Amino acid sequence: MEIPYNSTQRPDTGLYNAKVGIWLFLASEVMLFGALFSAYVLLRVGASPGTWSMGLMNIPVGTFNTVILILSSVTVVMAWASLKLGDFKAYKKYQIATILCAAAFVLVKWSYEWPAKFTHYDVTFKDATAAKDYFVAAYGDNHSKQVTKIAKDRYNDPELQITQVPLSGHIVGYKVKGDTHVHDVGKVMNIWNGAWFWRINWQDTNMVALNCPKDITAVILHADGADDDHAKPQHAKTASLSTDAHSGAGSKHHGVEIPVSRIKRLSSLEPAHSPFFAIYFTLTGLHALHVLGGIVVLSYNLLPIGTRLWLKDPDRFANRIETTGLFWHFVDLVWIFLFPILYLL
Amino acid sequence: MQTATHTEVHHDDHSHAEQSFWTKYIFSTDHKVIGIQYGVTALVFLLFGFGLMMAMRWQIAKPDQPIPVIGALLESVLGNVAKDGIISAQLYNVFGAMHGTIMVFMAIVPLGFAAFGNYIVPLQIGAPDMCFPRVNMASFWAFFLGCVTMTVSFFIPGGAAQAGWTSYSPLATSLPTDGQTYWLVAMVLLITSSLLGAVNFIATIIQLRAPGMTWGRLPFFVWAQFVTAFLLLLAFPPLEAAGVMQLMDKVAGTSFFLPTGLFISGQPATISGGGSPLLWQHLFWFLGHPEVYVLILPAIGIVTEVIANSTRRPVWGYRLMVGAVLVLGFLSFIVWAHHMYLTGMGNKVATFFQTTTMIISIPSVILLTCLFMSLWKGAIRFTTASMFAFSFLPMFGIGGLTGLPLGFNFTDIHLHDSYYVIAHFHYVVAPGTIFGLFAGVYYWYPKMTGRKMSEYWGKVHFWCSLIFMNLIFLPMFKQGFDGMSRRMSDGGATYASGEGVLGLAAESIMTNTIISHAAWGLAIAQVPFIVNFFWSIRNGEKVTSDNPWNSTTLEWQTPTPPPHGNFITQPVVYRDAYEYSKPGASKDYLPQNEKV
Repeated sequence: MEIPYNSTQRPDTGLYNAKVGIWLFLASEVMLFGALFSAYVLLRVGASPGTWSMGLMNIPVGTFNTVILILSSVTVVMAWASLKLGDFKAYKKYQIATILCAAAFVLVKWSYEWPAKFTHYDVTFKDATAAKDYFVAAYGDNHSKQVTKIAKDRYNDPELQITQVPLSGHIVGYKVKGDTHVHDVGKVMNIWNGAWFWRINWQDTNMVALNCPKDITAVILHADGADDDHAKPQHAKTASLSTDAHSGAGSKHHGVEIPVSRIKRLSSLEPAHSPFFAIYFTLTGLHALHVLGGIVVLSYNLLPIGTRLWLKDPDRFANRIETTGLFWHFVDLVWIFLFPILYLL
Repeated sequence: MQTATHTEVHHDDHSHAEQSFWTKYIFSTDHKVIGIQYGVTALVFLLFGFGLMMAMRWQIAKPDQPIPVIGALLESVLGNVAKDGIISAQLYNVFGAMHGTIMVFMAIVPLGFAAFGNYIVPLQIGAPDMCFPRVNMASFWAFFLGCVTMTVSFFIPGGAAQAGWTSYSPLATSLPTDGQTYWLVAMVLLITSSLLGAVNFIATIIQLRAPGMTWGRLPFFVWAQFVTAFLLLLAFPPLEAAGVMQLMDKVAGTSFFLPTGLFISGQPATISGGGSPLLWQHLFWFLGHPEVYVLILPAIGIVTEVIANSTRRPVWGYRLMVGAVLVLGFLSFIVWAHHMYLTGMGNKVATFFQTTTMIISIPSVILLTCLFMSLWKGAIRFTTASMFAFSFLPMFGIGGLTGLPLGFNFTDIHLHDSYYVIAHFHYVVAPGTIFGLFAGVYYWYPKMTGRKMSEYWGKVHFWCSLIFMNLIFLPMFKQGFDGMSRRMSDGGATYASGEGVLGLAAESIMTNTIISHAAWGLAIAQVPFIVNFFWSIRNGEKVTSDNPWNSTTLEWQTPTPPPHGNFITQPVVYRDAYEYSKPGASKDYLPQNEKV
């Protein structure tokens, strides 16, 4: 006996099998992301002042990604509608557009947004004196303004004091027992797309310095917005992650030399940085995996191995595209929630 | 499927060509083969998980004495943690964590839900297969990979996970070994497997019921599996999310579950902090409690089938039971924090969960009462299967009733984390669920193989198991009242000489020895089962009909064993599930597909 209702609807439920299956799968996905959203809420509500470092997201880029995902939602529906009208050529066109949008989304994340975080460093100091010293070194007379700016833009909490905000920027070099190595760590990391083994992180007496000598004595930090390069106006924006590590002129920055003895914690904006970045990378990473999975399925149904079903059983093929589309809408919908909670709110 | 004409069995286009050994038995898409694959794998892990416990019981009864024979083997395989054949505290923790994990996720759930569900559900609803046969195969192989990962973790440096099957952070995260990482990866695979299985089961039950098989005519076993599948579908993903977060804590240095100011071994931890240990517990128990019903519901389903068949009368209160199981499924999502009364989550929260916990006992009692009522005026057949099913009732009853003091937060304060808890939940899952599963094995064995298992050795297996099970778990209630903690690798020997609140009553420690001997007795009691199981495949009593127990449900209306595609002709259902001893009928059972 063949399995019934693979391509036709069961009269009493009005559904074909795969549609029931995909809705159940999506229900489970809702619970998966729901748990992560609830973790987000709990972590955010429980965060101490000056730890929810959310204001560094690149909103224009996030908006761009939102727009292309919504666009792909439209094209995926058009692809299915074309099949229902029997227009296979139009289906192909629309589905290729969907895949291009999806690929663009992942590309922006992988090659731009995530690496920008991994190359951006936060330094917190052991005491107020150290904090003041290096904020002054980086920003001169503007330092208190800068502290307020970071407190407001990044933590949405203007009350934060100088000891509660990090000095933030790109590391342009380091010192080993007196020898200065001018070395654009940020640039190297960009080549590797921010892979973890290029980090130099520091916490009190315990250093995680995987690509640097263990006896590192100081790091040279080019603070965000420190006014040393008027040719690059984006340096003035503290709150957004500019990509000046890309500029290729890293060694020209006038960095501030900070001895490690005065650093409490040095960390790039990687998952270990703070609960915010932990949940940010987990949520966007899991979402990106879903996008990649979507690309695989969408591509399968464009290649001969998938499309031969169209010749054999067009109804079933259209159903397949419909269920793919339902999954794709879900992936979009997740992003519609992710964008505000990670970028805007 | 409008046509009920004589469709050839091998009509579907998957089976035109003769199947090779590999596609027929290994990478099979046939729900029955997959069911058996699940069943065999799960039985192996059931025995393995039991073996871990026997080694632990040795250490509890005879602290720091070498285990005879097996001790040398453990030392040669695992090295220093079993030095001189003695179970070290570290190895005890490994075994404890893995006993729980293996029994819950790799033995009972795959046996009750996946094995019996896969084999029986499509047959009982009159379907040719599951909705998505290839997804079904993927589900088994994801499960198998998860099992392999979990097993391999025993042999990595430092051994397997040590933080209990609950894997509470920060303990689980801060242990310096990689066992926990393997545990998490394996869990993600097992969860993937159960997700694929759950989707498949629900879709199959909704879509592939035979003509005439209305919701009200479904055998109760199918209802139980239906609710179980929903629990797996919706409760497991939060654990998967939690698992991903703990994996991030473990490998990427995040602090999801690690609080600010955490010290590990006297050193400040190099983490950002700011996480919440309670978050893990909430997410874990959000799965963990529905999981209890995932363990018990398939067994209740099996017991219902066996009881109806062996009392020769309809199940008492079928509709009531269906209602109860649906309510139970729903409520099981809002009772989880009764596992967390001692975490300091607050009185108001505790009161809420205490209330829902008391409410959930109502549908449980309804189910049990209906089954007891079904025995009334029955013409009972005492087969091995039915005896396991009958004994399920009082055993599960003890397990359920002893849970009430744990559901009240004021009594839980005393009993929490004591041997009382162990006794309570083992009464639910060991003499409870496992007896239900044994009933299923003895009951459906003739359908799967065409031969019955030996009744004589079956009864030996039953009586010995019943006696030893109770000898193991009954004394544990007493130990728990005496204040014996459940996590002592030496069975409390350290506290034997203490006095007052710190001291343990001497008889509590003596009881350890009795329990351990009973555990080894229980192991010996399984020998007749194992031998019987394999011996009967070739030598058991041949069944003379396709329906040896004279049952009403559809799985017995197929050839024995059912071929790929199950039914020779499309079955049409005319009757309720349990039309036994109908007045005026020519025989004492009327199959569901017999015309009115």
